[in-house]
This record gives sequence, C-alpha cells and structure tokens, in this order.
Amino acid sequence: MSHFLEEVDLVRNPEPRIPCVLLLDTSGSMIEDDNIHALNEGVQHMIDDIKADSLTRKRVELAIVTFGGRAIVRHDFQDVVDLTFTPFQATGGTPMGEAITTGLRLLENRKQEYKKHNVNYFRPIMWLMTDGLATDDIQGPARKVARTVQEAGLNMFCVGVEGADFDQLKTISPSPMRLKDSKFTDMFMWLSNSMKAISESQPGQKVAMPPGHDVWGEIQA
Amino acid sequence: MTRKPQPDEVSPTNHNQKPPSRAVIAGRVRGAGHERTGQPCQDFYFYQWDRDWAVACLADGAGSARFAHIGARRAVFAAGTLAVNALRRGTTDLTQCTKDALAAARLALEQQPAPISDYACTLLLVVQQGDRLATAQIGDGWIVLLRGQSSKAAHLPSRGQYVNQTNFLTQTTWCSHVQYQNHEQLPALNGFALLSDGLERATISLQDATPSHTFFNGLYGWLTKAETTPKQAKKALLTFLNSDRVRETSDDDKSMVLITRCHSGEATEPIPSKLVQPC
Repeated sequence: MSHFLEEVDLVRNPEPRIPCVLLLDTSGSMIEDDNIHALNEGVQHMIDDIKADSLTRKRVELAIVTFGGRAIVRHDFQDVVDLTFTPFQATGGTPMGEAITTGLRLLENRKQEYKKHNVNYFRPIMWLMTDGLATDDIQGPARKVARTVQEAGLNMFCVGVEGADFDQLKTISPSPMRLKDSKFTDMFMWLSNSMKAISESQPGQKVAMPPGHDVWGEIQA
Repeated sequence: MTRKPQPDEVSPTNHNQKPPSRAVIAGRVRGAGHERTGQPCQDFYFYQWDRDWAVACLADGAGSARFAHIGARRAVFAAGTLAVNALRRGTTDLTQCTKDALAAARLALEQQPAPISDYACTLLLVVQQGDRLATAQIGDGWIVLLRGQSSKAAHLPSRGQYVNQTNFLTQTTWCSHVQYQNHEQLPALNGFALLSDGLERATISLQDATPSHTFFNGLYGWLTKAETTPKQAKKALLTFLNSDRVRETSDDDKSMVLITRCHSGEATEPIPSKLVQPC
C-alpha cells in the first residue's frame, strides 16, 4: 500500500563538516631516515581511509600546508573525495611560525564560509608534525594558537619526529607527542579514526579519542 | 479506572470522546549510532489532549550522559502531567503553565539518585488551548507550527559554536537557556509538530531554518484524510523513520509528535506572537 510518507521528498541539507588542517614539515632534514617518504605514504593512507568511510568522507574537509623553505598551501579546504594527493619533496628550512599563521588563516576563512552558508561544523582540528626547530618566529603564532584553543576554537595536536625540539613544541601545545620509529602511517590512520569518531558523535557527546595512539607515539614529558 | 498516560504512547483523555477534529501521529526509533554502541533510544515524548486543549512534549537524552534515556523519559512525563493537570484545573495562563512544566521536569531530574548531569536531556513543550498556544524549548530539536502554506519554527534550536554541542535541562544555568513563546489567536493553525534533532536534516531546511512545506503540509493532508486510520499512520511513521533515506541523514535517534487541530479556511494572517522573558 502506498502512502504519503513513502514518497515525500526530503530536504537536502549540507552535511556538518569537520575541518582539519595538517601542518607538515617538509624541510631538508626530512630526507633523513627517508622520513619524507614515510610521511607521503601516511598522508596517502589517511586520505584513502577517509574516502572509504561513507559518513566520514562526506564530513571531513582537509587542508594541507607544508613548511620546507617556505609555508605552502598544498590543498585549501576541500572534501576529501575531491582531493588528489601529490607527494611532497623535502627541501629548505623550517618556517613553522609561518605555517601556523597560514593554517589559522585557512581555518578562520573556512569558518566564515560555513557561517555564510549556514553549514554546521565540528571543532576544527590542527595537526602539526615536525622533525626540527623552527627557523622563524614561533612565539606570536604559538600565543595565537593558545588563545584560540582556550576559546574552544581549535583542537591542537603537535607531533615531533626524532630530532624535533619538544621544548619549542610545548609552547604550541602542552602535551606534544613523540613519533615512534617514523610510524607515520599508524599516526595518520589514528587521526582518520579520530575523525570517524567525531563524525559519528551525537549532540552533547564528549568524543573519546580512539585507542591506539600508543602504537605510534608517546606523550613527551 | 482511568489509566495514567505514559510517555511515548497515545494517551487521549477519553477514547470514547476523542474529538473528531484531531489527528495524531507519533513515533520514535533508535539511531544507527546507538545501535552500534548498544545504547537504548534516548528520545521520549508525551502527549495528551481533550476537546479544547492539547499538550505535547519531547526530550532528547544527551549521548554523553549515563542515564540520558531515564532523564528524557522522566522529563517529558513530569512536564506533560503538570501541564495537563493545570489545564484540567482550568488555567488560562499558558505561559505560566509552560514555565511550571519545565520547572517540574527539572525538579524530577534533581530528585534522581545519580548526579543530575547523568540525566542530561533537551526538552520541547507545546501547550495549546483553543486559539492560543505557548511553547518552550531548551536545547536542540524543533517545534513546528503548521499553518497552511507557511509552517514555521517556533524557536531556533540553541546550539553551541559547534554542531555537537547544545544546552540541557540539567545545566546549572538552564533557566537562561530556555526559550518561551506565547502565541495568541491562531485561527489559521492546522496543528503543531515536535521533532528531535535526529530528524531535522530530513525535514527542516537548515539554511533558513524553514520547515519543509512538502513534508509537513503533505503529512497534515494525508493524516487528516478520512481513510487514514491512527494505526496506519503510526505504522507508516515508524517505517519512514527507519527507512534508509531517513537514516542516512543522521545516525541519531529520531522522534516526532504531530497533533492537528480543526479550523476552517486557509492561513492568511501572520501568527501574532510575543516573546516572553526566560525565568
């Protein structure tokens, strides 16, 4: 028997978004231990994993900024399904401060776009990975990150590869993680799982980060 | 013996005197997210009506709270029964009725054995008497006033900055988050609907906070057809809420109560309404 509810057209609203910006160190030192290759593999795996999940792929928007020589926006915010990844090359110094400033600007612009188009969104994620010491001013950008985090405007994560200056990372995020054995793929898969957990969360729900971060990293005391 | 009305079930005051002018459709289903985690459906509703009045409320338990399903159930029952009793005693101050009902719901949660935050839930309430109607809302979800060609939302859901944040009846500052509204003289009102946020992406245009005309007026038209029986309507709603096309809009629990009232003529006048200050 046919009735009204079987045939009614439903409203088509845009999906709520999870904006995530990756700040990735592609300085010359990333050639050591073939870290740049492991980083490229990790990012590619994460993109593939998000694309494979029907809900997460509709909600996650990824921006990628690399800093090697200078901060470059490799991908501005876009749906992961539309993202084609080109592997990075390692070169130059470590302008981490410039990368953070660029990432914050991309996030702010994106939030304004969401508001303009009435698109709901989750708290943005900023994920910084480095193997060294910033070669530019980090204090100003670090203060801006701290203020944004305090205002609940950002979830900030810092990961240091062997050789990173953890004292400097602690000025950006109080509990930076140390990456074990260049396990970039495990790290990015964990980030992907975290975004899945967020995309499935209900109103008011505190989202527990998925287990497994100890596989790829440890909190640097 | 008169049976006490229970949350989430049809509870007309007297089945033999059911006014022919009203039709009701109500249902709730567990979302895919709660199916995965083995949690129960945390949406509950209550409704009751008589010849001249109707009361409906709906609560959505917070996914993060241990006993959210108990909180939501207690809240709708406490608020609903207080409003019904007040109307039966002959109150005409509908705004005070909604305020007292929310206070009763809050008190019911304070009296639970665990910390009140374990019972976190939102609450929507509609009290209708003749041509007058009062609404109250804390948190997300939608109260839709059905008016001919132009259904409208009574309130905007209160949200935090982010999509997975809202306000709950269990917050210390709950009073400052409740929205009350009093609507006087609504001859064009076809009825009203309450729905949890799990259903909003399928039925509300979020860009401009406008209820879907196709959905609500189509449902009203179908529901008020002589050949549509209450049993058919309930079955159809549950099938709809559980359908793939609705489930893919949200993993959350989904629930709705829609109560119609009779009027003659199409809606031509805007709804006169005035904002009432929160308690």
